[in-house]
Amino acid sequence: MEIKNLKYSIEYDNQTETIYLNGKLRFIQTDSEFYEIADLFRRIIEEEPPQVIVNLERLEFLNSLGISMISKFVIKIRNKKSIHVIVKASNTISWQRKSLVNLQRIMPSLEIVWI
Amino acid sequence: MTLILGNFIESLPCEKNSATINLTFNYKLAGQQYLNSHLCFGFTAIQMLKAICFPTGYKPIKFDEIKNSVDYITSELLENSIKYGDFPSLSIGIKIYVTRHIIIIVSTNFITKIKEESFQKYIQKVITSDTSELYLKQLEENIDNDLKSGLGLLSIINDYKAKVGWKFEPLDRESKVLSSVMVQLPIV
Repeated sequence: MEIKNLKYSIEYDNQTETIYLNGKLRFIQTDSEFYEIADLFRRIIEEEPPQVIVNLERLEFLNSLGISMISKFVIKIRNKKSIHVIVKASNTISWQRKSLVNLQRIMPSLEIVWI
Repeated sequence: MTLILGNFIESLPCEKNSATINLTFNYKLAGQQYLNSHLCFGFTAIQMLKAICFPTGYKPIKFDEIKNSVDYITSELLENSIKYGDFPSLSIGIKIYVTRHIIIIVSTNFITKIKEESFQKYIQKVITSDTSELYLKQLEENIDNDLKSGLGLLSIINDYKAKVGWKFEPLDRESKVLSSVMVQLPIV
């Protein structure tokens, strides 16, 4: 699955169970992409793979609605108790250094790999 | 009567090495297009900072980080103004005040008195709570509602270590209130 426009791209590779979010992602509630991604997250949780990788290495900007969406995805995974989550992050992108630590507060077993 | 909550400075100090820029958007005219305009505010703030700092030899080193922080904060303030502002003639003011040590961003727009009440209740909750706990609580409470975030101001306070204040100025003959949100971002 791939959602792509000039500002961002979102891709899910189900072979490696990796979600790639790239570019500058500024969600608003009326975006159709917002619902597609919410739906993708729902399907992944329903499929219950042993591991999910969320790759944010090239996600330069994410607004609070996007942070909220990823955080709720992590809460739902935590509640399942069967899925391991790895977040790949970039320590050169400041919003990631500031905000991603909250994901570990939500789910202490979540692994952040800084690149 | 004017009401001030949180950390709101009514008169910004007129320092020698400071700069201010004021912008006004008409949402009705610009529509969705200016939702992306937040990405120019960080750049603008950095140019102002460079103009102030370079003549004195002071050189902050984290320009990129400051730019990204200003982009994020203005984006959240603009979104809130659009979400809660009084339509259809929504006009949004953005002020950026820069010194060597701090960047202050103020968004201003009209809201209805009904929205003012619920907004002030939420602000009281933010002011009287441990905001890092409130951040997690809101996520858990709204777990089944993807459309509800409520993290904008909380992330500005928690993640960006900024001070936030609010000012409400009722208009005498109308059921509208001029609402301003101030974010003080320290330059570290």
